Amino acid sequence: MIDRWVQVWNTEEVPTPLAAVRIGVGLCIAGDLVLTAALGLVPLLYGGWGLWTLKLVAALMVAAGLFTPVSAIVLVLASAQLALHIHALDRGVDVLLRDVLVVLAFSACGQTWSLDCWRRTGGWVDGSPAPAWPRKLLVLQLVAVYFVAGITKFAVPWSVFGGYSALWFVLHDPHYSRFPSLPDAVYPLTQLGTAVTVWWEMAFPAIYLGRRTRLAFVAVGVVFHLLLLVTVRIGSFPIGVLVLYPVFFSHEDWVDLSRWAFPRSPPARAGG
Amino acid sequence: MVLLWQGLLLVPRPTAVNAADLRNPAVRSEVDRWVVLLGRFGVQTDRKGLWQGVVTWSGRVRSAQETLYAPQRPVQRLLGIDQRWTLFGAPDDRPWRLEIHGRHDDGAWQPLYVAGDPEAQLLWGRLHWWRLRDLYNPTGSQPRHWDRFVDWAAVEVFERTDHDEVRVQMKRSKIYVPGEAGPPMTTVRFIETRHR
Repeated sequence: MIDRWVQVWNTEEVPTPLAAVRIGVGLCIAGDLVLTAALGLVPLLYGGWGLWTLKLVAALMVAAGLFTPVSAIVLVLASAQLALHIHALDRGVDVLLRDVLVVLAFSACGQTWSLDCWRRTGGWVDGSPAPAWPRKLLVLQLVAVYFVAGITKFAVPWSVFGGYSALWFVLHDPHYSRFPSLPDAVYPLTQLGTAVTVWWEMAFPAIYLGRRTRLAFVAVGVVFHLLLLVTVRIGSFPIGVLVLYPVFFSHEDWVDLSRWAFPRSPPARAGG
Repeated sequence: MVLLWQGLLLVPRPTAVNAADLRNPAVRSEVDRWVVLLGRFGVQTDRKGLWQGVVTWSGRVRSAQETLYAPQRPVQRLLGIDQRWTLFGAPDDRPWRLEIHGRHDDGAWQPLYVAGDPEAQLLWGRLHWWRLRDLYNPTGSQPRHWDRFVDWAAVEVFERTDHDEVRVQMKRSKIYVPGEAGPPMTTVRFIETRHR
């Protein structure tokens, strides 16, 4: 049993999915900070520029893969300090990205597609294998996020007994909705969206059933987050979670998927 | 051990509730739905009885979890990590709407910003930013940073308009699903005014 457990976690693979996540997380956090500054809200929201600057520099260093483990930990600490400063500003996506950064700090996410790689090898790509456990742990993290989000939707409007009306209410909240005056005709669509959301979240552990199932759940997830982005103002959440999606597949899986999606046409024959 | 620790944190934790929360219309509405739902399964209860059970049991569960999580709290606090995940867990059928009005001395109030109203959108670029919304969006009681937000909003309005007075308030309205009907049930709360 223990041997099997160790076998599951103690494998190696090329860490490009982790590098992609590192870049995405760094840019997502930096983008949020830059937009807050562009709106002139830094003094009001963060009380000053000190921690904001530290967090931005650390986020950019994480994205660039410069002194990656240290940068990731500095980013976690700066983000945690900001959370303590104004607790109301710390949302679930901030917590999730800190959880992810702690794992990234102990991973080989800076091995490739990074300034660390360029400093070490003189090139931008290093395809040597590295421990796979951080990627597998992040998959488990995302499963936990969706599954718990699904089972904590206790409110009756999320169920058939409440007519799956939850999204109707969410989409009429003037503080969240981008289109708060929806016509009645779209009510059935919001009911369908509510049902799909709650069942997809609760069934998310099924991604461990196989690669095809995982692909289906990931595809629904991409659509789910893009729809969230278009319909409700919930800040970094849709993007902050989507940038983690590369971990759902290993480097080899991504190579296979890209070959399937973009099959190389045979070279054209000369003459004719 | 790390997996076990994070797994423990994953267990849903009830939010702190008390008997007074039942005064919140959104809570009453949700409890009433549960009373009807439980009745369908043969469990007869009423609003007050069900809520008392929720208060008692959520308090016990919270207390047990607080004890369990105590050893890990310092690390959790330092790194700001957790495993509490919820997204619109309890959608509100009585959402709040931020309103900012301005007036000249002896004049009538004019709407400057009303959430969701395309005719009154002063400061919308900032007010729609999710980080700022978290400063003013109430979840039942007055937002913790409400005074700070109102001070900021008043300064912004005075800089951009020639109004002499600003009123900031929250209006709460009932949302009905198609086919459902009822009174508008609008209430206005957290009214604050600032003078130039």
